[in-house]
Amino acid sequence: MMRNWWKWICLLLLMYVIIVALVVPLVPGSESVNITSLHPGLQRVEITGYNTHFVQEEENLQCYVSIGKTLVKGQNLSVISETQAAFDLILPDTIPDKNVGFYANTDFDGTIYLSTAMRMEGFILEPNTPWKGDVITVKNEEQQFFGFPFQPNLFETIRNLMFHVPMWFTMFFLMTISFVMSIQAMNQKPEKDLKAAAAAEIGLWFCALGLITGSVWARFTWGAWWNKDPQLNGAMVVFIVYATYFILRKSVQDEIKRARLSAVFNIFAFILMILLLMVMPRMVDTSLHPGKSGNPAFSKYDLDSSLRMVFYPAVIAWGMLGYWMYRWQTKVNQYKNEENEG
Amino acid sequence: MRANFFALWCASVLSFITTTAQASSWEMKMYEHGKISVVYWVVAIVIIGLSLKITLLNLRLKKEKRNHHS
Repeated sequence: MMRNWWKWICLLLLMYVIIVALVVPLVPGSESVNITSLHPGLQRVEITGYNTHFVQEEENLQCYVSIGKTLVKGQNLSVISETQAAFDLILPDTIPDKNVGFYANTDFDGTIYLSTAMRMEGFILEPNTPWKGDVITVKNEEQQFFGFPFQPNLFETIRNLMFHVPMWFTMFFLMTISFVMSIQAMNQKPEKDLKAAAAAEIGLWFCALGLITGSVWARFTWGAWWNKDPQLNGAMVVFIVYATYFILRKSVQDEIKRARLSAVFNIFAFILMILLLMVMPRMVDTSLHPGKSGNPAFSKYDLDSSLRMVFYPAVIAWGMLGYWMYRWQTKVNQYKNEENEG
Repeated sequence: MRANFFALWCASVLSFITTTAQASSWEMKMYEHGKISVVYWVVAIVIIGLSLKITLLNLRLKKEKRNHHS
């Protein structure tokens, strides 16, 4: 029991990650507005929130629009449902800026914000306009409950961070073990070759799961199962290269020769993996992945640390599971090797 | 050790099923947009994929042990 303490920690962490990642709700957010253009004068605007409590907080609800730095308060506010509210917007002919943002504020939900592209029809743009807009008194800008960040493009799929991303972290971890074992195998320790193969085999499995889960997520977030993203293509090349490693191993019968050849191939495969997955996507401008090609990383959305509370345990838990599976695979390889020798 | 793995497998699948079942009753309130189903797909792929590999490892280990002893 005490010998396997880390396995129990792994199990507990996995349970925590799976349950918390699926149960914690998203914080309220603003999803859309019903208009695509603004014009001077009176206009009725309907704002749609997500996980909001407009009916419950009807008394406190305020809706307003920002034109540049100027705020305009919505008039004749009416709540349609918990997630929908409508208000009248009265805009002057001359405005200081064309950047528009829509806000809704309640004590419970805090301030939710939507920045969306709008056609500005019939306005005179005057940066030094004396128009001051309305004075808004926001009581509470923060949400009253704990939840994962709301991102308009991701919605609930932000939870996939705890399942898809750790697959790649675990793959990197296992491929690093495999790389180190291969170097040792080159240094007159052919028995390490079995460990290198075991780590690469489990790592390849995590790579396959990362590819499949990424493809499912991409279909809903980016609109296609596969995109021309250097990280996606790089991951597929890495998968093929490591699959080739096992073909190479099967093609050589002599144990010493196989260990040497596989070790050399594995070292090159590892370097290629670093280049394709960590260097290349940062050098090009076409990556859709967060943190690549100037895209904001998840950490930028998550300064409240709610995702970190699950994401870091998830990385540790899946990594521990990967290591556990690697040890198991090593045993299988060792038994098989002894059998072949016998 | 295999008992631990089996426990992990059962617990993961069970927690997935129970949370999924719970979430379906929340959908009107919290998950109106269906994107939560993408998360369920991803969780299912990860759990089923790893369970499959663990099962294969278990079977291979049993076989190799049997061959080793005989």
